[in-house]
Amino acid sequence: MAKTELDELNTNIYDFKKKDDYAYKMKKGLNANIVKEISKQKNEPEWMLKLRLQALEIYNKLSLPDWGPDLSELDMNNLATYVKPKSEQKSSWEQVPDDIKDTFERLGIPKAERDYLAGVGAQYDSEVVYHSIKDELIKQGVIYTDIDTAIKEYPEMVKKYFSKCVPLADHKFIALHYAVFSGGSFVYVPKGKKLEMPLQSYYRLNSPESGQFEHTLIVVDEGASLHFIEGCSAPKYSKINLHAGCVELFVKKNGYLRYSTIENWSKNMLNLNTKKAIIDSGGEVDWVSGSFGSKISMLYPMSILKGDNSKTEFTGISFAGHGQNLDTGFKVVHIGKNTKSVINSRSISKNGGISTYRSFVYVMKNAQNAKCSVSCDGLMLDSKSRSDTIPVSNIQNQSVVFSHEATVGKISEEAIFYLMTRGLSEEDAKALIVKGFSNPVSKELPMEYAVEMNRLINLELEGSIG
Amino acid sequence: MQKINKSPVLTSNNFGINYFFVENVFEKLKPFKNFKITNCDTQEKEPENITYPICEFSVRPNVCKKLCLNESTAKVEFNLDGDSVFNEQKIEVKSGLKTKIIFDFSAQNSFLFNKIIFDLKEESFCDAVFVINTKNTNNFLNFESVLQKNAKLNLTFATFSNTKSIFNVFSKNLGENSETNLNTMYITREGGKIDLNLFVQNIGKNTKANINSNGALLDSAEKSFKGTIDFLKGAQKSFGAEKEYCVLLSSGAISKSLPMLLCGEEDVTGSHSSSSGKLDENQLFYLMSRGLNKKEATSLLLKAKFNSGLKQIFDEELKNKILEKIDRSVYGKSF
Repeated sequence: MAKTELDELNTNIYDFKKKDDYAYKMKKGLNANIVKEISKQKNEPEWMLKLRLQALEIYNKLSLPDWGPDLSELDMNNLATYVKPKSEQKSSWEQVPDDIKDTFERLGIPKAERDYLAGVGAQYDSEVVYHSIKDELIKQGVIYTDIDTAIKEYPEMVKKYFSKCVPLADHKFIALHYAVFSGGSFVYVPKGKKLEMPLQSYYRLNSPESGQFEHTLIVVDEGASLHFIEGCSAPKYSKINLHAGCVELFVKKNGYLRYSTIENWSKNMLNLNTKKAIIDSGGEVDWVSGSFGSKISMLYPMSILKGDNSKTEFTGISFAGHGQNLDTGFKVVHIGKNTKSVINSRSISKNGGISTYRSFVYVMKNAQNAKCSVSCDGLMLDSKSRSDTIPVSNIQNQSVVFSHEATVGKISEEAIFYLMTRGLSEEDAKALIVKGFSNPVSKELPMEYAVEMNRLINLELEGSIG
Repeated sequence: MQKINKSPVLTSNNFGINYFFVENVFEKLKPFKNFKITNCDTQEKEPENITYPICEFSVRPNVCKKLCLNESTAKVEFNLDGDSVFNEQKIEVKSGLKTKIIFDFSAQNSFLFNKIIFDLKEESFCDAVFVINTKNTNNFLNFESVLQKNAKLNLTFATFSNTKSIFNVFSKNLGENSETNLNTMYITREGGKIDLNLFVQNIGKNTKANINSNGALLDSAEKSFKGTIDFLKGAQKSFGAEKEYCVLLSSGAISKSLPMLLCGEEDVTGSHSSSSGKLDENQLFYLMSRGLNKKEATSLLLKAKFNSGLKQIFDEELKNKILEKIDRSVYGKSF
């Protein structure tokens, strides 16, 4: 069957640049003085500066991982770790400077806020420039603010949770994150409060040769419920940018959190993000993850099922195109009894892209009657690409039910043939099959985001088969 | 500690599966002659005008023979007792020839290192079975194979041990339509550790790789399975499937697994599945409702789990020996 080979589409709705205009840009490099300067700029308490410096020491001691994609391109001496935009944080879009506001307008954030969100945070480079939450939620005790404000206004709560889910020495890039983190969101949903509309934080990195290190900390108290959406993008530059964010999630007894992410970083970005959730008894965290952009991604969200009867589900898709190496997956640790996890991952690679699914399932000795089901499928759209599956399990309890299934291969020729007999062109048939392949993820997203994800898939596909 | 049996592709060291760590278990080799070779001629020198498969057979430092593998199944039996042995075999099957060979190892309080190389020429076929029954014996088995066009290798090994058992297989399906089938069965008990590192590369077109692993862990035994099927670019229309099933018969057992698929070619079909856990309680209940006691039911279900591997063992006597070992393990008797 003839294959369609066209040049990759290089236009992208996310790839528009604004002038590199800032109030303050840290000089490139990483050392104790730079860390101290970031802390000073933020007027932080002493304990936070101490934590940052401790993290820097750990960063310097740890070596680069000897597995996964090659990170030798990363040189911290060529990156600015802190870029302060020229605007302070506002709670009205009207007060946000025009060029920054225009950026978020083009990304559809204010419209989304008007239509279906309960609150929005928008970060531009290293600082949050806009944050708002509906008044009625504030009255009900919901806290949704940027992390810097939380450190000042809710110090005890931040101290109790900050770095307790993802420790400083977890890996080299989380140590880097803690040394230079800036921006991000803090959410607290009080006991029994169920938010019907989602909250969304959006991260935009505009400045070239810089890094974004936002920290997201979410606490969902007993019986509460939240849907949190995270979006990220950046324009493309010729030199490397770095994203090393951190997400810490705490879900208390019978709480529920859905954490949805659509990452569409530019293809000069190294995305070395860390996300982890600790889930108490009866609690549940569902992850929905779409990874499209970046040059290299190493992203493995993790759920720790600490309490009895806690649950987690991961539904993820990644799409690696030309020049991309997306090493993604999921990790789960079963500690409590009767815990349950479901992992469903899809990856697509085309035009020389490399997709790797990497996972870890750990069922500890006391996790009686744990259940875990893993399914991962890789779809290759041409022979220039790669699709690898590297799943690890460590089962230490006899009563567990653990199963893992995976497949890898190309689009079925029979399926294409069938659709062509129904009147579709070969290209349309392939596109339809790819959309069907990604359907388990898109159906888990709110409709507007599912449409957005399908649009991203279309953009990626148009280059090779559309 | 030494790092051995390295995974073909590394993942995070925190996952504890990239390597097998051993203390210095390599012991000084001693001359060894307690082996028996049946069903084939042996010669000291290279025979001329070979029309049959050859096995270069050496037991270091004192034995070196040529086994002429005729149409009957050759059988090599080792009996180690307080020995330290390094064996090396190279099995060469010339174009169009077929052979079957059995290696049956019994060892106690010993150390065993075995290296086996298969060189399968075009249109050749080799069916090799290794049964390793050890007590207080660390054993390392290392297999390498290269298959030319239309060659087929069936490699089956069954191991019963209570100490360290390390297996490393690296098979290259080089020629078109070549096929490697790996079948492993194991029962590990007490503080035994088994580390399986099975790697098949599909290089030629229309090549096939099948990896099947079935096992059971008792007491505080630990298993680490690394199975890899690697589709290299150009291996069009190739097929690869991995199945790994582990039964945990004790609350202290640990099962680690890494079934990898590496794919650099679009036009292939690859799949893997793995599962770990105890025996199905409904199946046990059903068998017990038909009059079997729990141990009998457990043994029967284990035999069913091992059936896909057992089918590959063409020697009835050996098959019965393995079935007996399954019974003995369930009843808590030594292998």
